[in-house]
Amino acid sequence: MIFLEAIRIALGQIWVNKLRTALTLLGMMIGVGAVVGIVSIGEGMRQFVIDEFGKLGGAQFVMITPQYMQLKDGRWVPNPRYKPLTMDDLAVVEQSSDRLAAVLPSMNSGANLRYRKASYQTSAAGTLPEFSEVYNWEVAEGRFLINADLEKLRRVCVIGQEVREELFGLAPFLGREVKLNGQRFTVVGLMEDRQTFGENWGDQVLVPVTTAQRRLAGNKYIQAMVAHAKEQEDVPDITEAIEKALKKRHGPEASYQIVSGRSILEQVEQTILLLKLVVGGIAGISLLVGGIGIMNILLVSVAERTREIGIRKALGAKPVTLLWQFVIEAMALSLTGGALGVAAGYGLGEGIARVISHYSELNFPSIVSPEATLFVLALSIAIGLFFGIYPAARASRLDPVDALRSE
Amino acid sequence: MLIELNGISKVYVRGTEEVHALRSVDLAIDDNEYVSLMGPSGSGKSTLMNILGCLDSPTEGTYRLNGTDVSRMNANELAEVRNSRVGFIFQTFNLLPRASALQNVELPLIYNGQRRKVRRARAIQALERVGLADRMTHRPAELSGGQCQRVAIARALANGPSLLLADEPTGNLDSSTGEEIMLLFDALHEEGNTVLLVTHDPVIALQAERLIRIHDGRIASDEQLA
Ligand SMILES: Nc1ncnc2c1ncn2[C@@H]1O[C@H](COP(=O)(O)OP(=O)(O)OP(=O)(O)O)[C@@H](O)[C@H]1O
Ligand SMILES: [Mg+2]
Repeated sequence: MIFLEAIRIALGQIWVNKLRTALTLLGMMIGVGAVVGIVSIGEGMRQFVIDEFGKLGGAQFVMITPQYMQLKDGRWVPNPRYKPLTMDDLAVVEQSSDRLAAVLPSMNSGANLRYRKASYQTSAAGTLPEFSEVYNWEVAEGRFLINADLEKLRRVCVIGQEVREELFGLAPFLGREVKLNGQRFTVVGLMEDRQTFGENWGDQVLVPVTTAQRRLAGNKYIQAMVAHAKEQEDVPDITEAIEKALKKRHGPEASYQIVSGRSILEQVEQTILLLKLVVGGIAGISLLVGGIGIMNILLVSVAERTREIGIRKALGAKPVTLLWQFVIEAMALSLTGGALGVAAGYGLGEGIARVISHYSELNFPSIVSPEATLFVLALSIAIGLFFGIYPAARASRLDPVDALRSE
Repeated sequence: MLIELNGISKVYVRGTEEVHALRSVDLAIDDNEYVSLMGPSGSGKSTLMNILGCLDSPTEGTYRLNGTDVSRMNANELAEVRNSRVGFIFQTFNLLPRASALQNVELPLIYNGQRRKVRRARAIQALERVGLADRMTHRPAELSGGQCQRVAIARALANGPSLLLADEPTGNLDSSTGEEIMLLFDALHEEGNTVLLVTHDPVIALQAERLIRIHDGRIASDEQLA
């Protein structure tokens, strides 16, 4: 009963002193808004990275590359102990664990494409038929590479949207022959349009890895391998198994750099968490400033309403009742500030995300989680409680006769 | 005995200076008495009323209200006494300016923990008693001085106290309005209320049944009127 009355009085006070309240709450609002805005951007960043990783086959990939080392002059060179990888190594890696979905070679070489008078400079990737499924990237027209292409070392290629545009324009392309570094290749398929991390995949030219080795590179090596786990949890085990298998094959000195998508993702998440904590912490300090503002306004309010407090005391309000009245007023103030701040922060996050999306053409989201919102609101109430106690205690301890005499 | 004061003193200390507002006052007032209190300015009338109304506590002496020793009560118990056993009426009305007449009268009922319906009904009843049934939604600024004092009286009556204390209730009113308020006190006394009021106006003082004169913190005279 008395609680409801206290809430009613508090809201009435806030309403009567609209301008003063608004100015006091500005500090609180900016603090909360900054925290919410930054956290939502951080969360959006995290989601963005996870989503984009998903397009790359998720965080369950493990990349095996030759170990590089840095020389004194700063150059990065392959480790001299490094043994070039071959398709036999790929087979070994494939056998190393039964929890692997696929292992793809990475085999890129510069490619000059010509069709009639048009030409296009890009790089050709030698790969396997599993590529399309692993990267969840479908053909739009024609077909993807098949096992027969690899076995027979066929000179066929599947091209991206941009390659097609540059070479063929709107003309038919399926079954046409292009010159790839002077050799004739037949176009058998066209890939769907796709982007990850803002990068267009349309400049890709995919050829059977065997053909690429024989015709383009002229050796039997591959540059790297990307193994894909069935489940993300298996990544650490798989990483270990791959390392073991390669050491067994090439001897204990053989060194390879084995990086998992999971570890990259963890690194990114940690960086974002750090950003959230640091910037959020700085913004949190402004919450303290907001809290001091609330304490100040409450002290003013208690001074202004000394007579009212006297009247209430004379009519039988107990000290604890008045204490609650002012604490509730402080909490109502800080909660209002917090709620406005959440709204402002949401707007801020959304605005920043839109600006980033607009200028970078990335689809960048801003995410305010319900947990974060509740946490911030609870924090706001706690700030009101903390900073409201002192002014409220002052009000509750006023002497009724003195209070009634004040003007 | 409703009120029993024994050796009540009140000393205000201001720096090194001591002000003796009350000096060992003994006083007894019975149920349903109608008492007026007179005395020159600064003689200690308000100090005495504040102690009787439990707004202030004496420096020395004991105060029994309805047999219970009020001078030993803590802040919460005193608040309860102020809330339901004493109705205090001030010279300056002391209404909340932003609250309506009805809301002002509801205040002591709220602090008494009454449910919304009950307190609404009792507040309306009290306002009807003082003749303000048609002004319930008005704020103090929209009421005349006499009407404000009626609201204050209704508020004092709301919890059915055993004692009505009025410190110069007509002091801020013109004489005809003051007379109306005094008629209301007369009627409340007729209905069985115990009334103690401070006044500077001898005409008003003589309407009571007992007149106490106070001088320099002491009771100078105490007489039953005809
Ligand atoms: N809070 C206080 N601090 C110091 N002295 C006080 C205080 N309150 C009252 N006094 C002193 O106590 C004495 C009695 O004051 P009180 O208010 O009781 O007089 P009063 O009889 O009501 O006078 P009036 O007729 O003018 O209202 C006065 O001398 C006054 O100055
Ligand atoms: Mg006085």
